[in-house]
Amino acid sequence: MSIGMDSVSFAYGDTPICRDLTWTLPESGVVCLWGPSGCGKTTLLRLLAGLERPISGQVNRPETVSMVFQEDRLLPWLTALENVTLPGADRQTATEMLSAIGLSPEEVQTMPVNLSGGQQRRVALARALAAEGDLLLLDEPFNGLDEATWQTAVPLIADYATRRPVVLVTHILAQAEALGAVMLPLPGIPLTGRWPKGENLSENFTAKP
Amino acid sequence: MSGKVRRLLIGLGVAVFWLAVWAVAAVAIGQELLLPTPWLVAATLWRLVLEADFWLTVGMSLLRVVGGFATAMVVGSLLAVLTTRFRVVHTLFSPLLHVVRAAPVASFIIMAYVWIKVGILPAFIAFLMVVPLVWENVRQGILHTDPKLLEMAHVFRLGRYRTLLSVRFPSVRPYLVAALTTGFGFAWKSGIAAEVICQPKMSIGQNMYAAKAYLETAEVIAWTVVVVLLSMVLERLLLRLFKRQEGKA
Repeated sequence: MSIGMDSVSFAYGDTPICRDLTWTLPESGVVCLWGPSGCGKTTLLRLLAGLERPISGQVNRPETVSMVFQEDRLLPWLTALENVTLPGADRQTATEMLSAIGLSPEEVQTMPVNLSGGQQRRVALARALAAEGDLLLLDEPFNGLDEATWQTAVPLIADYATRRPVVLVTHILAQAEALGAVMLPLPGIPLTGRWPKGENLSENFTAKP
Repeated sequence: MSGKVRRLLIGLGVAVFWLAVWAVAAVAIGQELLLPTPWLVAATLWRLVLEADFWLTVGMSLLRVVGGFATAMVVGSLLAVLTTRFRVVHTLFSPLLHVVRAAPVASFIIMAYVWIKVGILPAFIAFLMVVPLVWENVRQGILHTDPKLLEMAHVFRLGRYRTLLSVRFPSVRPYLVAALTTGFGFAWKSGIAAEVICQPKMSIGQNMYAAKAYLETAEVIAWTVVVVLLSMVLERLLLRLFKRQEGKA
């Protein structure tokens, strides 16, 4: 089954976000949703994550999904390591992932409240990567990280993307470029159309009043 | 000087101050019936402790209050879950919450006196006073569980059991602990009040009532001291138990 959306329509109340949208993700690689605020980027991620139900059409999701939300969404009563093992990663994998993303052994055993904002963000990234979902959704994953720090996470995400599809939402073009992402510009709402249309990536969604 | 020792010394200082105020007032009044001295109360307490029935009496009162309190914790939590989950249950049961809260405890004691055996009536009253508190607190805890954390649990497919254990229960825990500490005091006060009014055998309330009838003010105060001490010790034990559980979690 290919991951994506089939003739999906969705609206928040009276505001339509997408209408009859068809979208198939590649089997691997990073796709970057690109567009102005309010153009439906996060909503598309939420539909793929199963957090929103389409009004009509079908969202084809894999068995397991990993996600980095706009906020860290760490459990404050668990240590960094416990947060990463919660979705199912074993302790060794979780420890290795936290270490690869730049946390010290002491920080790994620390409660989120005692970590800096950047460290908490890295724990959220490590949780999503260690969970090894069949689809990785990243909503502004480098929020609050300086360039040197997010650059350390780039090879980890790129490696993940060699085996599974990754959908990225970001406002910073350099981050998409560093991940070698296929850019998918979203023109505005409501989104409609089909992607990809043959090889020509310029023929993607359109916004219709 | 460590913070703990400092706090202990301050606590002792405060206790000594109020004991001194009590002693001066008692000596100034000079009537045991109106206000006995602290040393007379201490001697009375010591005499009571040495009596054969003391521990049995305390044990029975404790059993009633703790029994009512524990049942209230379970039933209150269950009601909180049901009223949060099902709107119809909330609509049906929430007026009861307001009635129990607003009505004076003495009304319930007198009403229940007609329906319930004297031996378990204090437990029932303690239960009735604590249930609304647990119910409302736990309900607030459930309603205030961060929806974003629940979304995270949903996306990562934690499943019902792990979501309950890792997200829902820790979110409710502070509300439950607040209910526990306030509720325990409530249970003691209402349970002993019920014992004084309906006088079940082997109870602190019955002894207090008898002491009052014989104008033994020192004994009334000595029994009150027993209730206060027990309440403090048990409340601390419960809190420690919760903190240990928190450490394990």
